[in-house]
Amino acid sequence: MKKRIISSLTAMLLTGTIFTACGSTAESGDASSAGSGDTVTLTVWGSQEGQPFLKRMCESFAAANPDKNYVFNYGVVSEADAKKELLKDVSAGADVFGFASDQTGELVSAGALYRVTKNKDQIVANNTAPSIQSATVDGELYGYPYVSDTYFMYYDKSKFTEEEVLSLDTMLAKDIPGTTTNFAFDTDNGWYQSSFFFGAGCKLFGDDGTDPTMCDFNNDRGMLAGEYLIDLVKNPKYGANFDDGLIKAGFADGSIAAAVTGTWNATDIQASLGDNYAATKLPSIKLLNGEEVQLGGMANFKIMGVNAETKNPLDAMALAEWLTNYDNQVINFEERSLAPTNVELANDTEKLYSNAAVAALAQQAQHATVQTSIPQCGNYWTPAEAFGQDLIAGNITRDNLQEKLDKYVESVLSALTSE
Amino acid sequence: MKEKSKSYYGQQKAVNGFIQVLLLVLGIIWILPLCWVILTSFREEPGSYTSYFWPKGFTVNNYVNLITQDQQFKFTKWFFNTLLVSVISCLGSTLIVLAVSFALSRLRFKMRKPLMNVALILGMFPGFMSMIAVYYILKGMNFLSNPLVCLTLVYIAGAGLQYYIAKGFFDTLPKALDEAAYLDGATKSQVFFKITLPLSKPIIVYTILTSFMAPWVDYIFPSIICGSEYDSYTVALGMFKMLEREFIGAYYTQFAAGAVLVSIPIAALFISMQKYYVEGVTGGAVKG
Repeated sequence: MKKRIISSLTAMLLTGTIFTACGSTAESGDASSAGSGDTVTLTVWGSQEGQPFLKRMCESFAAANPDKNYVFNYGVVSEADAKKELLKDVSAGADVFGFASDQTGELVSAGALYRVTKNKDQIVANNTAPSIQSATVDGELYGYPYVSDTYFMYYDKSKFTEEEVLSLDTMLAKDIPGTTTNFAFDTDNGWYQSSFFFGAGCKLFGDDGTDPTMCDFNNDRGMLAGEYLIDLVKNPKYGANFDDGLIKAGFADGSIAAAVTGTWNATDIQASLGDNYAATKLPSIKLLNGEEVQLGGMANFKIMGVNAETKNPLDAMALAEWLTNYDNQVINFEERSLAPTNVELANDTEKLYSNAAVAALAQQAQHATVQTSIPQCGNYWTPAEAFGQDLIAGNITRDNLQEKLDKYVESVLSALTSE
Repeated sequence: MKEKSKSYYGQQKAVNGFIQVLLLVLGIIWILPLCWVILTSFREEPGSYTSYFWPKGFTVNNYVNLITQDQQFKFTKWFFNTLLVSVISCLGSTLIVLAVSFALSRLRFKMRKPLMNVALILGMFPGFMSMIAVYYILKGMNFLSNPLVCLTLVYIAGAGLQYYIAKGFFDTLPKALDEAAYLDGATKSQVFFKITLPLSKPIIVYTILTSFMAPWVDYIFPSIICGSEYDSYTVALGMFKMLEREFIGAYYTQFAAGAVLVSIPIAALFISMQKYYVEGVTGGAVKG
């Protein structure tokens, strides 16, 4: 621990000196306006399927900044693997890299992310509030959000009308010939399961998702969500534990009418359903006390980060900002079907609705809770999985629900304190 | 008496029949996943899960696409990367293992016993414990930009500890042969190459097999070394990427095809060396 502090201190000192050095050269370059001799080498990481786009965007960045000579090295590291690869050896990592927002907390506490010091207000204003929140730790911005991601519902238009998909209870009540499963989702996956608890109004890790001692899934709202889940898994028309593979197979053979998953399955489901392909936000559910609530969900973002040990922080920040600007988010949306975080683009309903899945995602994102990025959030998944499996196995009844929820919350929190 | 023996045989038959049926069932259970992977690799319809066992359509396109397309997954490149690493480190480590075994079996020097004990204890620690340290050493030596060289180096460098079985085998060879050679003026290396090795075919085969297998199927070490060098991935690392949620749907059948292709070199090696293999494993254990 001590060693880490020392090394991160020296790293900060080093970057600090480099930063000032760089700043002064940049200024002098501006003053003489002829810094074309400066060669800046930046390493950029992106996923393999995004490489051609990344190259295009970096080249346009170089073209837009002709006063410096930019040389780019590209590495293949997907957003999901960024934390693992970077923390292995920060100094060998990329200057600019994409990562998933649930890694923000750990990357910041490991001192791997460069605090955004350039154009911060502009970036905050350009992107949606939840996405900025997911890149912020203790009031400081550490990244540039560019993709928003959550789950929503795909359905078969020939089996449900647009009104029916608004309510889960209506959907489950309907008898559809040839369809065995009216609604399916991966019950024991905490990511999906949370939608019921969040929908009922529960909070994981406090109001802003940063309080590691708070989880109120066992209060009376959590009880209502739990009771609904007990009834749901008993319903023969509900498909418990449908993971991606089962969902796609179900849409392909017509045994599923609606299912909860994300944009990564859009192409396959569209191919299976053809003209009947449709996507929308999650339905609402009617709790036992008669209240109708909209299902929530966990939202994730993809964020461009700058390496804390980069040798060219100003250029790296400029590049990260460029990669996440309006124009490049349009490219991501139009050519890769990635949902934007840019405010202007996210509110451009006309443009977004050309892509059913992205439109549904944008709709659902308004109801979703930002997936917390505090390092301890890793301790949520296992208890959630255990609870889901207990539900499916029928081990949870109304009589022992309170007890089971208490245990659920206790294991989420106790795992935290033992960290 | 006659009847009694008859019922005895009947009983024996029943027991044997039961055992046969049990073995048949176990055999089917064991072979089923293999058949399933092979069937999946020829399946026409994509997707990771199907509700039926027998594919609706058959195609070789999974193999063709896997080998020819390198937009997303560079299977062919990874395959030859792995083959190169495996073959070179197999040759290197076989030589080292045999030489170490020979030294520890035939030569007498002061630190022999302590060295063997140290090696035994070191061998008990799982390899991945030192991986991060190895990573930084390689980084310090500026090798990291070329992960394949790193992998080969590390696999060869770690080989010496695997001497037990080969040493056990060398111990069974009569010392009189060596002594006769020494009397005729042979050097130690001549004894090793001209006397010991020709007599040790089974154990050489065994060493070749194990030292080829290890790099061929290793996942953990390449995952630390390769990092962002996509072109230098090994096949195990690359194929694991195919199972990420974005790709599993479209690439699952290709993944199965890859799994079949990956097993071909190992299977070929085993089949060609099979008859020595059992001899090697048991031969080394006689006086281990």
